[in-house]
Amino acid sequence: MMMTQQQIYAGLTQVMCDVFDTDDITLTPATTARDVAGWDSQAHILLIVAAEQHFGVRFGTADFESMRNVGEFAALIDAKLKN
Amino acid sequence: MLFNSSQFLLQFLPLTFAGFLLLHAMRLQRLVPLWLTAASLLFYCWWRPANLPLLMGSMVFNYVLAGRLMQSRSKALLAAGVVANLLLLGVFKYTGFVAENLAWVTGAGWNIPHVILPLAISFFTFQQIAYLVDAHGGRISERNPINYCLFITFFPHLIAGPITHHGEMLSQFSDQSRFRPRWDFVGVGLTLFLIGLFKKVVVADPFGVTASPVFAAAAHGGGVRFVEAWTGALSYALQLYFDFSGYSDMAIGLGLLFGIALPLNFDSPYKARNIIDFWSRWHMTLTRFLTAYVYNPIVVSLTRRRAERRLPLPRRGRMSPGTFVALVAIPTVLTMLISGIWHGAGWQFVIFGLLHGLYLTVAHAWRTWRAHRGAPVRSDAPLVVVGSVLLTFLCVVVAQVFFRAENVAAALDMLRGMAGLNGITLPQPFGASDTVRALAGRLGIGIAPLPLFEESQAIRIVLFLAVVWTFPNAYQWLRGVPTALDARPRASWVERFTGQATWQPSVALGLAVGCLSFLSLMLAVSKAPTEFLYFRF
Repeated sequence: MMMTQQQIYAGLTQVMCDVFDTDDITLTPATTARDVAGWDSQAHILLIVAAEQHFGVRFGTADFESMRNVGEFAALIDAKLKN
Repeated sequence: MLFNSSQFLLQFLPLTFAGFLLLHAMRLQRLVPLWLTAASLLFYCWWRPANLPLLMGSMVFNYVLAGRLMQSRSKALLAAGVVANLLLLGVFKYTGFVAENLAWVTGAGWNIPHVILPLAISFFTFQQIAYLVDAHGGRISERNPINYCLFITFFPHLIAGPITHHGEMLSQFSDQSRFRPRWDFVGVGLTLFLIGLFKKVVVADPFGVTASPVFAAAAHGGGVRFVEAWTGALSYALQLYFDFSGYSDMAIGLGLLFGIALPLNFDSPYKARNIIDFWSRWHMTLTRFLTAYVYNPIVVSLTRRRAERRLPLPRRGRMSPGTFVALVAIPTVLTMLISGIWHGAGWQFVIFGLLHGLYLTVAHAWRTWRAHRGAPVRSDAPLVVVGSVLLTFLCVVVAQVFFRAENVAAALDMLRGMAGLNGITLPQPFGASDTVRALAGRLGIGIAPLPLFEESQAIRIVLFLAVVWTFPNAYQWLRGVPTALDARPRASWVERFTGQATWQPSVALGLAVGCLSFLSLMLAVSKAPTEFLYFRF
């Protein structure tokens, strides 16, 4: 399935709002875990699983660390969707 | 070879460094990785040449397998590779333990051969498992075989860590502006190395001399009394601290001599205010490895299963007790159990791991409970800070008794002694005061000479606990210059108070460091070097 960058960011924003229980999140490629209140290691894992469900993809152990940066997170989803 | 031996200090290190300088002067930089790999292999086989084929075989096997994994991405192949690495570790580390317990269960009278644990195997096994997992995940870009060998064998970290990650090391080895003699790094590196040597030979080793007879008494005969038990336990806590901290400083300092930054491994762990904080400061690269390659995969897989079955998941740190047990308690205890067993084969290490798993679970439960009530997670009131540091330290010391003791029975005897259950006897000087004697008599406390205790030991323990708790650490002191990889030292109170208390190259400082180093070097070369405690893992 193909998605535009815009669709991926919209999906990711929705996933984050669900996990962090808020409506007030604006994501840019430069956003990192440090910029979002509550994005700790536990929330990180919830994000990974929620994103897997939302986009219908599966991440591997080697991917987890790079996903603390929204730009890389989106790029990874993009790559998985194209595969 | 030991960092504190005269062969290393007077022959190996100067020659290796001279070769490094020479190759650069002759514009033969491309031979530097080969030179340092060869030197590191010599460093490795100094102790037991017989283990060299094992290290080489393991490196070739993993390098080739990683190449295959990058092409095929086969999960079965990855699983086989990880199992092969764990089997190798298992055969050397746990054969004796498993056979002993099987013999005990079945009543068989086997003659169990004693297998000598090859140096560094626990460390290079973990580094290579991470490499395989990342090769399978498509996260490896560099494939230079010599650089790979150097990443595994680089002598500053080979034997007792830091457990480096291929991503952070291979990029430095191929960076020509980094991997070359830089005199600014050499000055800092030597300073760190000498601070580490001082911690090892001047501070840690004498504490070992105090702790050993107490733990030996607990193992042979038992009945260690209150004062002696605490002296032994606290001396060991300080020995382990300065030994490991010293080793980590020396490793990072040695890396800098060659322009290489190693990850921080030790960040004043006894200043931790809770046990979660403790593990983010003690053996940091082990925590990092276990989190990335054990804990996270377990939690992700459990979370996936719960999500698929539409079971509740945590929201903003809040969760039901059932969710807590499934997603926090079980993975935490399991990971710490693995950490415990990694440290050694024996039931005392199993208990050490389970204890820390329990501590961490309690700390997480406390946090979750506070999140439920919307209470602030952390308080900075002085009494709360002192109380939490002391409570954390007490938990750590209790677990360390298992870590050090020869077996579980000896550890339990030590803990009975520390709880006062083996009787409380005060050392002789207390008998000089009539009031103390009368009070002790009323409380049923004896006053008698204690064979395993001297007053000077108590003074040293108090002095160095004060150092550990109040002094800034080496990285805070060196915060103006590059030290460990990604080091972001907190500002220390000394710095806040004086405005500047950080390291600046100057003649006076050079003389001071020189004098301390002279003392440490004299001590190091004048006696047989003692092993670093983490070498046995």
